[in-house]
Amino acid sequence: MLERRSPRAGSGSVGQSAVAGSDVGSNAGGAPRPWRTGIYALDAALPATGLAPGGVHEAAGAGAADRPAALAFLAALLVRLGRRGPVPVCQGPGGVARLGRLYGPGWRDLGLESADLLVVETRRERDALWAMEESLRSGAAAAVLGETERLAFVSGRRLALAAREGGTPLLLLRGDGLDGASAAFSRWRVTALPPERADPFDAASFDTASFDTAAPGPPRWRLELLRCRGGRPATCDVQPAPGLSPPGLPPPGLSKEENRETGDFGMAALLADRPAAPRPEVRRPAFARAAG
Amino acid sequence: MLTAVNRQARAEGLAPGMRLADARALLPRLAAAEARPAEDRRALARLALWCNRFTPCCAVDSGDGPLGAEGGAEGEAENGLLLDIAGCAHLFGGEAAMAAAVEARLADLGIEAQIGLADTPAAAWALARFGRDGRRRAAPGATLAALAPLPVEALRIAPGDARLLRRLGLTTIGAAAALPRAALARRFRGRAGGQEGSGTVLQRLDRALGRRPDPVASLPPPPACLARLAFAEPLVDLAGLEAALARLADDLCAALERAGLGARELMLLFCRVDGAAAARRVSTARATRDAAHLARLFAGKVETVDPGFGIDAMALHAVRAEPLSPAQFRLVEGGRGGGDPGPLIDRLQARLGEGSVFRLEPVESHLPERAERRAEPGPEGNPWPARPGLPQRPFRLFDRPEPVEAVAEVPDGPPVLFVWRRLRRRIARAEGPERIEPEWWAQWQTGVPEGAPRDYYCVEDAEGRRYWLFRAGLYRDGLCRDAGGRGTPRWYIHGLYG
Repeated sequence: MLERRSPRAGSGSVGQSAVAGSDVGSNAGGAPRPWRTGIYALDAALPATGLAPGGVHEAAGAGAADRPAALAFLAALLVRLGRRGPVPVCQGPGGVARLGRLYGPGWRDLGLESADLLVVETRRERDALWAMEESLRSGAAAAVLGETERLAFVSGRRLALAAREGGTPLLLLRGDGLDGASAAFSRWRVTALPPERADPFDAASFDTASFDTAAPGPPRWRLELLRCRGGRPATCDVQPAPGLSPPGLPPPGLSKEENRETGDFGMAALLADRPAAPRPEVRRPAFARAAG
Repeated sequence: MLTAVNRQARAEGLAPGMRLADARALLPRLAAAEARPAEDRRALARLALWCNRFTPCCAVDSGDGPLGAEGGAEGEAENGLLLDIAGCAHLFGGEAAMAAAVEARLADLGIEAQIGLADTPAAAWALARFGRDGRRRAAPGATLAALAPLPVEALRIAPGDARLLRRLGLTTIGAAAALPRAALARRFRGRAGGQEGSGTVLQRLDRALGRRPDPVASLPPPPACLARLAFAEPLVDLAGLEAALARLADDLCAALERAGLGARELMLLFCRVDGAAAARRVSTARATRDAAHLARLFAGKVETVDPGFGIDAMALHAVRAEPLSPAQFRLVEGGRGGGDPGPLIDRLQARLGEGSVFRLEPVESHLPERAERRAEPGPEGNPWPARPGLPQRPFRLFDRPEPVEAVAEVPDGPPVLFVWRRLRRRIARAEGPERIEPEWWAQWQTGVPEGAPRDYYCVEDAEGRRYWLFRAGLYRDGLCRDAGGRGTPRWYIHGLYG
């Protein structure tokens, strides 16, 4: 891991990180490419092969109100996976009651093709787990997105086996937090953070969206990688550049964040590049405040 | 009021239509039970299902006829079964043998059946109810001869028409049929509309005699393909049923292949020895004739069938089928992420029920809750259009916008504080409003006052969580009619951002 990190450590330049992002996406046709978050501080903590495409990746909000943020983070991971194909989204009644239903236009704004989403709404929570397992084993899904209110260890183990068997990742939003044993490959805790305000006189933030200084900025999350098989814990605050793309779909902009745990500085370019997703035509100048 | 009597009671002089008190006076030892028409109907439907052992085309006779209470012994609307035995009789050794077989099987179940057999449903109906014993069968082409001695009520005409015919001295169908058609048509022209769907006497006559098509609404269309299996010994164990299911699926797929079809909707029928029957249905996302897949779709459903004393026949019907050319067979088996999602969708739907698996499809509408709809989970969905320049949409949307208590600095401004699910959230940033006018031509059951324009705000609380709020209605605008009738705009939360 250190080797992978060293060429870029401390580079802090926009260009390099953009290259790092694009080379992940470019060799899609070749060998199985590593599935990474695109955030240097986090990728450095992952094993060299990246996140396992045949594993369970759990996320939970730090508080109940952070669940949407955790789900949006999973969606961003899904975008980074870059597979095309149906994505079953398995929900029990609890998640629907708490967060509402999936809303296609919003998912499109997140950079996912809403037509790929295959919504599976079940009447019982148990059935949602069954649907996840079935979707994983079938191998017909690009990935599976699941929501569960409660997950027993045995069920988690079953899902992990199914994911490995089908070679399909399960991105699981847990409503019951991340305590206790789990068979997941990685576990993430997501906290929504208020955005850092850009300097209104800064050239980079000079665009329509940030004219309105009272408007909500792009999302900003604290991502905590609590556990990862073959990796180590890491924490990173992540914010995409404002105005470049919708909130939720973090743009190819960059921001410099401190990795609180390692004291390291990483480039938090977020989760954006995917060949299928149309990029904004206008490339913004480097996010000056962040790069500097 | 008596609705039905058994043979013994009839011999004592009781008849449907009598009052219970009268009947008790006549026969003090009378055992009476309350009539439960709904259960009768259900039992009849079960029996109809069971009759699938004879022909795939059978249904409860829904009786689009007049059938007033005065129709005599069998005056109720739904008291018969209709079996279309075209092409089935030879399997039982002829029509007479088939009728005898049906009667014998029903007698085994303790059901006394009167079976009429004729070229048309109407004639069979008449013969079953009004024919005399031993003369309930009309030979092919000899319908009129068989019907001629029956009373005119057997035509299922309105009671008034029947009375009039009798007054004219036309007591039998034969007499009515002998009249000139023009006269008959003229005489009963005005009376046709008296009872819904009863039709004129001439129409009825023509239907019974096969001169006019008799669409029988209650009869399901014959399945495109079917496979059936009768067992020498009734099956009671799950393993046996599953083995039988596998064989049925094989047979059905072979039949489908011969026909060049693929099944979209399937029905699995279980006939129990005691006359009960059960059916389980599944549908598929795309036409298929993969036997293993079909068997798997039913796998979870076979357990839910109560075998009772044993199941002695099973049938698998392809209720709906679509052309499926052999080339459409899967060429690539299950690749990673590239596999055919069809079987997966089928399995999910078979277990979770129809409508629990769907895709989201865009709809041209400005109203957020109308901008998407659920679509069939086909193998490929339509792409969503880009929405350049439009404000962001949340990725979770509440079906019914949830009312919140909000405080705004200025009446028409964004809120500074709102209480949702008992939690107070202080708003740090807000963007908006995005005004969305209602669609005046439609009415929505969302719990939000209709006709009020909505001002949407994307707000962010101090912790960075983002919500989509709207205010229904405007201040100083008579349009606002909220639930409390106060006439002040109310705030709702409609969605969540990531």
